[in-house]
Amino acid sequence: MGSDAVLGFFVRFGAVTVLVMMASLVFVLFRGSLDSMKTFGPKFLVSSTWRPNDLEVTKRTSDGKIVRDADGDPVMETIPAKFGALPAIYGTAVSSIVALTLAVPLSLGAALFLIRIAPRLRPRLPNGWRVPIDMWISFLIEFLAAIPSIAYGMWGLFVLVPYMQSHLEPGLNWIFGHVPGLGFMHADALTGRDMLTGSLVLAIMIVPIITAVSRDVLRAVPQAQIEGSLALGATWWQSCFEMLRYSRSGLFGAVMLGLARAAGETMAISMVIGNIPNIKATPFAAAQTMSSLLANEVSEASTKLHTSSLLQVALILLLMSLAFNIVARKLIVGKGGGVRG
Amino acid sequence: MMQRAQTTLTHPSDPPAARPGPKPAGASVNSNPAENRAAASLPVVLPGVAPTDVHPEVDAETHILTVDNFKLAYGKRQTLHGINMKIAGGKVTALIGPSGCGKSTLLRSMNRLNDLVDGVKIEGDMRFKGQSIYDRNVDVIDLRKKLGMVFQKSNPFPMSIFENVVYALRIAGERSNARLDEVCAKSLKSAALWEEVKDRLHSSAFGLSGGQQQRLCIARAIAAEPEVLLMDEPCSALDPIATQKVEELIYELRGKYTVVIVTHNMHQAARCSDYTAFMYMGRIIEYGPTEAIFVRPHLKETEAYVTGRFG
Repeated sequence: MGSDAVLGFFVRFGAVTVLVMMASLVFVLFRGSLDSMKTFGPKFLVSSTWRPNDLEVTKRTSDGKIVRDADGDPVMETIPAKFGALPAIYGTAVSSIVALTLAVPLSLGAALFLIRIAPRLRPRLPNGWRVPIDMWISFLIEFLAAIPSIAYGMWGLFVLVPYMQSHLEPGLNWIFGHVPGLGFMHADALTGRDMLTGSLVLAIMIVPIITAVSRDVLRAVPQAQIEGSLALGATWWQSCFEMLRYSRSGLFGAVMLGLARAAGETMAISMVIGNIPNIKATPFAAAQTMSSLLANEVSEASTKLHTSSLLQVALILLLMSLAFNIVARKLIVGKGGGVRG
Repeated sequence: MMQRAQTTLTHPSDPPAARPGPKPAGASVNSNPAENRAAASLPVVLPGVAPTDVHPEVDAETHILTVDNFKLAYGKRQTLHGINMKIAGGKVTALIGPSGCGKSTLLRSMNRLNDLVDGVKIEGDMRFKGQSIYDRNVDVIDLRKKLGMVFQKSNPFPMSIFENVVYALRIAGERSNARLDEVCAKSLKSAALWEEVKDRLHSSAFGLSGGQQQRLCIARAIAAEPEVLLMDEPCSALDPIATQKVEELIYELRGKYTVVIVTHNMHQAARCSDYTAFMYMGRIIEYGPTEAIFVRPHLKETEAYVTGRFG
């Protein structure tokens, strides 16, 4: 009886702690962003000015004449600091979507390979042992998912950025400059630290997780479904497509997990994206995501309003990630990886 | 009748006419559980050397599918030992036998579904209308369209009823809506499902009951216009009423299609098949008209199985 009571208390305490942590996290972020909410209101979400410091400028009349005092010196005025999260939200949205576009086909292809092809591809060694290629690839994919993001960031900075700047981006930029209709994506200067490189690093980082989850989801497709389509004269590809269709909700969940990871990713992307609050059509312009903005400025925020604005960005990011995770969880767990009859 | 090796297999000593009908010779054994157990574990003489006992009626039919000394192994486990079988066109042929005797494997070999299984080894061949099934140049996709299949557990796709039925046409690239509508209605009518679903063709197939789902799978197989329907225990997951409907359907399909049905349910085989093959340990032991197999089988092993004394 006694030990039951103690253990009962312990597990309840654990469950409650998680809830309290979550609630206090939201509460602290919300309370911290009140200043910013009061000052900017909903405009915070649509303004693209991010100016942490007050600006001293010469005062001008409405027709543009400089206002002078009695001595003839220009009168100075102070424009207060202003914060708007639009470039960061835009940067997060665009880099995540581009990363998904690149990563999803690759991941689904890899998952299908692991389920449909790799198990039958076990080369036989001279001594009769068979090399379980599928298991090795699965292991490597899970290993990739566990690599700390700073490692991806440093690889991006030292390998990908120079390569993008000197090889891939000039080529793409030439195409954008010469193909009619794509001119809006042309850039005058290439730095390599831009939206495209950021998205690419994100794509590389989310391939393992999407592959691993969709492999498990595809493994749960009943053999009867595959055989059912084959028995009706489906080709190998058509039966693969049938697998994807059968597990579409679970696969969508896998993609949402990838999206959540891409949107929340901080270290790697802040090293390669350039960190300038830009909203530009060209993929070769430096940009900023919500997480890279936070990583760069939190430690340097000097005014109350600056801190408050950063906390509001964090709140938006938290709510977004929460939404992605809830949707993903519902789709994967709720449906058991497939559609139930 | 074929010559048999008398050394290993025993014939019933009585002539068939003198046998007491469906009642087994050893009926008294059934009353005593202990002896019954003994009968169940009775080492049915291993069919090692004896050829299949094929009744002459089978040979007299026109055959659509023939199996020529077909052997199949999963890895090191030999599942089928040199099967020879001729299947009559337009008739219903049942494969019966205890679990693991290879009847499903034989059925799945007919449309080469076993190709999917890792480590499968195949010898011998089958012929469909004289054409080899296992030849290197066979178009498997085309073959599977001619030999439709219905599975043990209904496996509708996660789509509407309509899309399920026309799946075979869709993947073959059929685009005409009029044609799809026509085939859908015709197939559902053939599968005796039309009246129940005609008002909800575009709702999900998962909304149907188990029996309806299985009939949907039959409709889906029929829509591909196969010549042979392979049915792998189509009623094993159904309740008696749904089973009755599917059995009636199989009876209706006779003549239009050649049906090969694997079943564990001996009454089912007796009710809806023309010919029955009794399989045991990867071999066909006896193959003949259903009535003969159930009422006056040639072999004691067959009799023991159909009367429920082993298996």
